[in-house]
Amino acid sequence: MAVSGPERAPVFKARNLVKTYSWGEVTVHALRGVDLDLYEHEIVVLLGPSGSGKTTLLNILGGLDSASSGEVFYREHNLVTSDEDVLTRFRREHVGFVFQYYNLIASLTALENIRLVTEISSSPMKPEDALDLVGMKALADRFPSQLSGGEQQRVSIARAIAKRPDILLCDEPTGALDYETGRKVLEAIQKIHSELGTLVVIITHNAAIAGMADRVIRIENGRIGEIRIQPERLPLDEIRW
Amino acid sequence: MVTRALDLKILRSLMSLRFQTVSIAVLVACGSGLLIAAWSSYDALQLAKLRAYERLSFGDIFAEVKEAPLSLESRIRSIPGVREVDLRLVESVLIRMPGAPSAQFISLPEPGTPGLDRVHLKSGSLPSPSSVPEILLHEGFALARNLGPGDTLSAIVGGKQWLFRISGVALSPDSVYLIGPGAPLPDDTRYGMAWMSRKELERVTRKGRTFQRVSLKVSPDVSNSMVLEDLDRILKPYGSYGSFLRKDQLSNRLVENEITEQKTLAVLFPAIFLGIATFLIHNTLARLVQLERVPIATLRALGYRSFDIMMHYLKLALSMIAVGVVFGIALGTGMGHLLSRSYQAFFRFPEIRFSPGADAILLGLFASLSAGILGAGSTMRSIRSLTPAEALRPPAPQRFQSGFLDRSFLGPRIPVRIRMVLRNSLSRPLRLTWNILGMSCAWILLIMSWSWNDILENLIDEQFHRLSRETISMSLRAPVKDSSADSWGKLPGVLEHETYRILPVRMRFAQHSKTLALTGVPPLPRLELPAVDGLALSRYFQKAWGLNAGDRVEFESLEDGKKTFSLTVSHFIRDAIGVSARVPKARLHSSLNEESSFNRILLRVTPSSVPDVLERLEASPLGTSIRTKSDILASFARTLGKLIRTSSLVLVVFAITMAIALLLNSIRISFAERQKEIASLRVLGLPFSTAFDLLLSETAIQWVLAAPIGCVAGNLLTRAALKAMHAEEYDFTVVISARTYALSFIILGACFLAGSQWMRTICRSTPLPDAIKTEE
Repeated sequence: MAVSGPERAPVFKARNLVKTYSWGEVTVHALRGVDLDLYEHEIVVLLGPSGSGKTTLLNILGGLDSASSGEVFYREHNLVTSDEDVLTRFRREHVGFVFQYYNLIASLTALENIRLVTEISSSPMKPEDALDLVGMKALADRFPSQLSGGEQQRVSIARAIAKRPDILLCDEPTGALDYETGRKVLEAIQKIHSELGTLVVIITHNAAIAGMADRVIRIENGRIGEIRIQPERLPLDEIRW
Repeated sequence: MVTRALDLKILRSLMSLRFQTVSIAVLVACGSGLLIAAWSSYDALQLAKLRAYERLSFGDIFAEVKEAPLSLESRIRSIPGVREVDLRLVESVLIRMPGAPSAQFISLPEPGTPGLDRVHLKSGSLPSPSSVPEILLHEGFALARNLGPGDTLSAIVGGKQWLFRISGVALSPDSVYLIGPGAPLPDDTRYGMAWMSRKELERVTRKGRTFQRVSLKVSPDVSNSMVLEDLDRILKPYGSYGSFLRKDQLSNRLVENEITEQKTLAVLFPAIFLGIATFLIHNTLARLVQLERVPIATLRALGYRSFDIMMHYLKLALSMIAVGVVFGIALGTGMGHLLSRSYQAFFRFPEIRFSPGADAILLGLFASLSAGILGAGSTMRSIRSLTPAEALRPPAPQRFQSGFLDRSFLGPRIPVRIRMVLRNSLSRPLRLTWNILGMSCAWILLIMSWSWNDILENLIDEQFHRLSRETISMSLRAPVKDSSADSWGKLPGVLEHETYRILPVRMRFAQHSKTLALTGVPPLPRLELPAVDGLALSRYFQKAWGLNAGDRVEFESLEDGKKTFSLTVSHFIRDAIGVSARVPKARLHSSLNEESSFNRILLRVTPSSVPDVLERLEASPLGTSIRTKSDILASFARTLGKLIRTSSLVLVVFAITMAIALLLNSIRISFAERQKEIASLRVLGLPFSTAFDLLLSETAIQWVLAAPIGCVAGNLLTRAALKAMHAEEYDFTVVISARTYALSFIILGACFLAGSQWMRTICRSTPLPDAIKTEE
């Protein structure tokens, strides 16, 4: 169920968020004043064409990048004014990332990739349980090079959620996968959401995936174009692309 | 066809890879520069030698004789194959100057006859008849003593003091490398040569129409050994010391040795430098091709052949090399000039004309380009095996599998982060080995170049402190009874004294023969070691003559009387400089059938009494040469010491430059490869410094492993280099001090820290979102 409204305190609160990049004489306005609230227990899909600013927004929310101006609050902490140490702690304790190209450490097995996170988290789940959640327990001892793309992505999801994060940020999690594999990955994300209640933000080009969200936010040219609330999520079986 | 657009990409790549371009260019410049400098100096020395020998008619065969009449000339001339004969009067004289230098006075050819071993006038004019006899002074002695045309000097000739006027300064092909009899090293301040007209020299020495030195030119088609035999037969009744070929003429032999060393230098060090350049080119290109998988695949998709693309990257490598070669030519020319100038002080050729020849430059270019092609070779293969479709897909993760470490009982106990470092290090053993070998080259270079100073210090310590403890040594004109030593031993300030019997001999074994001094050593010597209990010879004879302990060696005394005797070799000793033969003094006396006597005395004197004792010794009519150890040390420092220190310094500067280029480049490449992994770890919540240090430890492991390999290889290569340069005159002990290792450690450690700090700054300044998307 989509849960939103002024009566609930948002997990993230972004106000007039601006991000510009400069390369020599060229200045690119990636975000041009974004106002956005994200709440606990919801799945949000950010849709938009390439270069619309969705990845920039996700990076700022996840503490990977800083805004040029404006404010982003994670609960009561202002991320824009936080230093590197605070952002590192924020990522370590609250955020799980899933990338399009998995970013697993090639020299560690699936299980060890997860242990890399659980060893530095305050109340992680058991690495095996995290793998079990994404249906990868049987392949725990395989190295990334011994796994298919979909399997690698599921390990990457397990690694992201093993710390029991408050927020799971996924950047094109199915972008490099075929339909069948992609669907399995989305199932894993949905399962984690329902079992842990994590706020999930998914970036995608793929409008079909929007069906699984509570809210769909369309980003166009660095601004929020449209926020659509979906009273009912579509079952994954009915999502096709 | 490769289009110009692709060539434009080379320029852009050179700019974007400017650090790598610069470091490769530095290495190539060092390598090709050294090669050009050493090869051109080799050429310059060779040419100077050939020109001087040709122009000044250097003889083919020589002989020395105690005294023979000039009337033998026609007999010598009639030896089949002899084309020219030159007979010279030679007299050893003591020059009245501080330090009591000695010299050889040699007659000039008769007026109107060109003669052999002609003098080359550097300044002034040839001697002419005058009330004060005129001489031509050897350039080395003239420069060392600051003498020139018009100056006078007095010398003791035949027991009488004479005043001579210097009419000119000259040199000759037989005195290019002038070294005093029995002296281990050349010392222009203490030994010289002078020429004067035969008539005047005959008058001064009262030796009449005699000669002491023979020089012959022979037809190229005649057997030298026949000429030697005939000449020996003619000279034997007159006290011949034996005839010999040009290759055994002392000055020529030392020149040839130096030329050989130059050749070794021209090969060894450039090979190491260019080897390292090959390593860097390989690393840089391999990394570049990995980064440019997509552009390469795109070019292939556009219709370029893999050959075109391979040529593109080869051109890139060769462009980096070309930048280095340009600087290398300039550097080599400068260094070559410097080297040649330093040779002028040792080798008195009429001129050493240095010009970097086309062959040296071509050789430098060829060697450098070969390094480039070799370095690019394996990368070319990887370009060819790259299929466009595969390259356009995201890169697959690097392959890993469980190893022995995982299966061992330690496996589960190793923290995940350490496991990651270990697996990364061990997963590609070939690459790990390659990196370690590359880094160990930096160690090798530093150790090899620094070790020269250690070798020199050890030599000084061994030769001048441990083996010889005297303060003053004096050689006597003729042996005197042992009992007369006491008069010197009782001089005020003399703490102890020791007497030695030195006998000039011709030593023979099988087909070998050599003129040298046989030293009669007192029992339990304290002032000059080692003690001997039988005939002890330099190790050189063991290697060069195949002598073993127990062999009998023939000796022919070159003193009056011409006694011959034989001795059994007891053991071999190591002489760092020169060769020696030592025998117990009593044994020598009995072989000569003479009473106990000495002709060399060593004194240990309190420092404050040295001037007084010297004054008393110089007043003695018996002494011919008096030397203090501090004089010998100073002369050593001026000559060989200076040469070794200068070469070592040049090499150290090169080695440090190369080590920095090498290490910084290795660190840069290894971090560039790991940047994405560092970013991934940071995204997962590891602080930047933890993530960075984790990856730093991988490079640190390589650096640590390179250290022992580099130290051992540096040690071995130093030994090999010394062996390759080994000449009869030197038998240095390879000593590499803890200081050399420590200095290498400090320099390379500083490079490592500076390099990692630099990478830390780069990594930290790369925004995380960019780093996470970096290609691995």
